[in-house]
Amino acid sequence: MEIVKQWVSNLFIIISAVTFIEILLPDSSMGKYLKFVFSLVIMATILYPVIYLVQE
Amino acid sequence: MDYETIIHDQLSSMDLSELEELTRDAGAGSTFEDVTVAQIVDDLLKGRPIFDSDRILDDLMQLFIMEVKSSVLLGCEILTVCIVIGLLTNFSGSFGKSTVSSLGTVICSFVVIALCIGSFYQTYGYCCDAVNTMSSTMLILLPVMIPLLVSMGGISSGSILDPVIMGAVTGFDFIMQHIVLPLVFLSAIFVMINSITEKDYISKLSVFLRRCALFTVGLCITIFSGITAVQGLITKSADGILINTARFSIDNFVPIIGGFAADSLEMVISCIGLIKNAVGIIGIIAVITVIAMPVIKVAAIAVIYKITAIAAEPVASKNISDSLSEIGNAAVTMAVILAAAAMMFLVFITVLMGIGGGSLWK
Repeated sequence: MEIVKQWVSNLFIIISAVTFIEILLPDSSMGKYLKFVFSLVIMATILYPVIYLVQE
Repeated sequence: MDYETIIHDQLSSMDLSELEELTRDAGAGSTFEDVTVAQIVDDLLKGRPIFDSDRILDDLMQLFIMEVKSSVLLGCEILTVCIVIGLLTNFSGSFGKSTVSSLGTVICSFVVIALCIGSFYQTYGYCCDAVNTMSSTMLILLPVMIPLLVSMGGISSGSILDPVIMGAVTGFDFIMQHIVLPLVFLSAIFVMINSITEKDYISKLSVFLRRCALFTVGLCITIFSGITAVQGLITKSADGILINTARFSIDNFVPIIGGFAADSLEMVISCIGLIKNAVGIIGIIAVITVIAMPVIKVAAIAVIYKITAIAAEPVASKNISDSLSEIGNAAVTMAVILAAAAMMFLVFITVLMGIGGGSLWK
């Protein structure tokens, strides 16, 4: 149960942080690359329980 | 010695105080406040109906309207924030930079999330409590019904069904509180997180979690009630052989008075069967009253979420109104799960009531 709680709160924090950062980013050509990197981070967080289960 | 004496003797020798206290607590303020086993037996013998259906329907309607009224405040709060969001998105041009207004929108979304998750956590708490009370009702009811079943000759039914039903109730309670209800709660949280961003990050995940919860409940109910029903069918015929052998041997092997003895044996067993079914009816009433409050509460909250979503659709952004509607769906799912759990407990009680009965194991 502990790990699920951790997962949900991680997901919440990362998605809200990413949203804020995307808004505050200056309009530069790096923006789209950063967005792609952020979505990779979110995907990794979503897959966290799967990775945990495989490692067990 | 007539049947009323037998029934009253049996009733006075039983300790039903715990069960009746439970019904009193569960039905406080509603129609079933003062239902007792003796009263039900009396009603059944004199041919009076046990329920007053008009009054029950009235009570339920009033309760629902009251719950809707008490949750209207939540809807108003959410709607106010949604109107602010609409203002911010429409007037973003006059702030010069779009960053300011979109930051404002995101912060307003966070306020909506906080409001929704706060109230949904309460709903989750109601549901957990309801499941807990239901299973403790069953655990109080079983030690009263099983001895009655055994005393009317259902020896193998009693000894096989007691552990089966106990195990099913405890297991189901555990699964509901540690897997199913948290899954629905998590799916609601994910839905809300999803409403912050324009892009859908985790909408599929939340739908998947809710489907998982529903699937688990369906599977548990099928397995547990299936096992109980099948066991009940088999043990019933085994007990029928036993009790009929006893009756026929008294009838035929004891000379002269054997016939009377067999008939009075049959009468005592039927009387105990009546008491057992009255206890079962008390159990059914207790389960239904325990479940009615939370289900109505959750349904009222779901209606409020849905109405807020409908009202917010023209003003606020699409993902906010979508996620409000989705969280309404999650609340409906909780109500459905609770109702399904109540149905499973009712099946258990009916299986116990169905065994034996007046016509002696035929």
